[in-house]
Amino acid sequence: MKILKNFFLNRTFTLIIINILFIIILILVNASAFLSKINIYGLIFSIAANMIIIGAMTSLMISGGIDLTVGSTIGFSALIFALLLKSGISISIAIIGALIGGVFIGAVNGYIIAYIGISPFITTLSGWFILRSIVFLISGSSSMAGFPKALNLISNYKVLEVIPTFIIFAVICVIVFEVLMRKNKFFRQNFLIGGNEPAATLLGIKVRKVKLINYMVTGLMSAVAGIFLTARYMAFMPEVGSGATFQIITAIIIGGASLTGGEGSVIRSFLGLFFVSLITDAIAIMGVNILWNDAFIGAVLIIMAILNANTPIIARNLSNWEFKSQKKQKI
Amino acid sequence: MKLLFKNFFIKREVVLFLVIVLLFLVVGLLNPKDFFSIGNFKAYMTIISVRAIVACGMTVLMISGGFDMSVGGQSAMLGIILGIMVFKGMNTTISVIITIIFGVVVGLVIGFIVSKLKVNPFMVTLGGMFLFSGLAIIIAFVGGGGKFQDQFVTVRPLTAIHGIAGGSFHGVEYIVFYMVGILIISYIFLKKNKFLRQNFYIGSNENAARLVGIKVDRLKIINYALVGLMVAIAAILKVSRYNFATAVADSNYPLEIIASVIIGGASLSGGEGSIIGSFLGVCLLTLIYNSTIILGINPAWYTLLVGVILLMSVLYNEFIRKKFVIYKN
Repeated sequence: MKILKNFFLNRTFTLIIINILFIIILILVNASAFLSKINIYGLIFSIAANMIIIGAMTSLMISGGIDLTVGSTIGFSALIFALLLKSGISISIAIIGALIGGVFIGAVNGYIIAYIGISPFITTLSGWFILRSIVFLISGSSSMAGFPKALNLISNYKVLEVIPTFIIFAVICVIVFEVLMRKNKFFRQNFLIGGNEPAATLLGIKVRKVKLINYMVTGLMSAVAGIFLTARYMAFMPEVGSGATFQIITAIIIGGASLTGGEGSVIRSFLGLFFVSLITDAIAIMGVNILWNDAFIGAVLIIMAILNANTPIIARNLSNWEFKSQKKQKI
Repeated sequence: MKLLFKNFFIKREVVLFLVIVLLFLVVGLLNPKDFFSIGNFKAYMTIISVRAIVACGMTVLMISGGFDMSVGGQSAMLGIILGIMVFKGMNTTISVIITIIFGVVVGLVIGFIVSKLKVNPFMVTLGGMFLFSGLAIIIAFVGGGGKFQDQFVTVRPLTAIHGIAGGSFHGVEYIVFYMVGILIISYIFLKKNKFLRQNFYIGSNENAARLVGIKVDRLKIINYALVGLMVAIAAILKVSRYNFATAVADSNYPLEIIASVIIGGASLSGGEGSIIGSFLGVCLLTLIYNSTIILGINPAWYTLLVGVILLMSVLYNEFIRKKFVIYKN
């Protein structure tokens, strides 16, 4: 009974259990495929880009905002990165250029949302399509290759011969953001803003400034992800980052964050992300047609959203159930 | 004269109409041969008709403050369901009825999740968008006998159903008549029907509406079902007109339809909206798309423009209609 109650109430517990169960099931189903080097690396690389962004996005959603442009910002900054490299600029300067691009997008988003007051959903929805179109238009819908060989080392250099730098950086990002959300005064303000914005303003929190910074950080991390992705594939494709928005938002919802803000945690979002990636991996390994992928993730999103919205009711019913069975024992 | 300017020309619908006329003239001047051809006219009228029907349902929904991002997925899925049924030789009338029922049921479920289970509509419809498109592809795959028909997961030919919307009456396609009919019905209903008019109250102030005794939950569920119904009708007409159903279409639907409705005057939080405005919004966006084809411009410009226009419309709403003030730091 206690376990069941914890299952529904303690989201971190639930997520860890579900992920472990999932891994166990996958190992039982097809150990050789799941534990193969190709699969592990595939899993690691598919999750790494999203991990870099998810910390920033979680803090943004805790403050009550949302950023649908992350996928397109990945593409946009990857484009800037690729163009700079192609015109002969050194890798370091190109990185700075791409980062500036990402921060710029974030700043525009943040300004429109925090200072002009347009709904974040519509702003970033428009931005999503606008940026992706810009990427396609400027790149001429064609890919680019032929980057300096040294670039690959950014993503693929293997520490201790097995761990790529990409994933190490991603893990560091998740840990850093989790620590920031727990300890850092500035980032903790997001909880207050998300919980009750007028109250936060009255407390003296510079709400608009914090929101602007949130969006700029999200833009920055998207740019970082774009750089790593370009380095990993040693190529630029106009579609890079297309699925990121959906995956990250689903992951954060699975992690228990509320859309209106006030709650959420980076670790839980990461566990949600892991779960989403496992779903895709499971579909590939079990031989289920890959077409089921989007349908499954969409279904999971809806179910988790329902669960999130109704947890208090479920918890109350579970408590009643527990109480009634205790009463019976006494008699 | 000044009064005329102030009261008439500032009206959104009028501005939209003038913009459309302007667009017509500009593109017409640049490429009169293609733009003013009968074939082109039929092409974009068909697209406008299909989208306008969905936009009617969406307008009602957005007036109540909700929105539905899954219309693209719904359209693909319903189209494929219809396509598979007709392909397998099922009676066309029954297929149509089943498709409509499907659309309404999907809408009812979404409405239920949004109103009774209190989930944010963005989350549900975002999930729905991917769920339905995924289902559409799977149904097409399975229904097509486990292999891809064409490379676009398409079902064709569906001549059996062509009769519904395939012909034309004195040169004007049937589909246009359907659209006009639905537009008129929607317009009258929204203006006169007490039940649907309640959407305006819900959109303006949901709590107040509840206190006044309006059955908010029931109305919201009906709104979503209405959207589902409209999507079903539009999908049926589209499949019938073009003779095929494809699972990979309409991925831009949500953006375009929502943008059309907002351009037409709806506010995101609800309380405002108009059928005529949405219709003009659909016309404008479709004509812009048509222009990119006629003038040979990269279609990515179209998506870019839609995003920009959407943003501009929302900014316009905030600034001019609500007299918003930019915060000075």
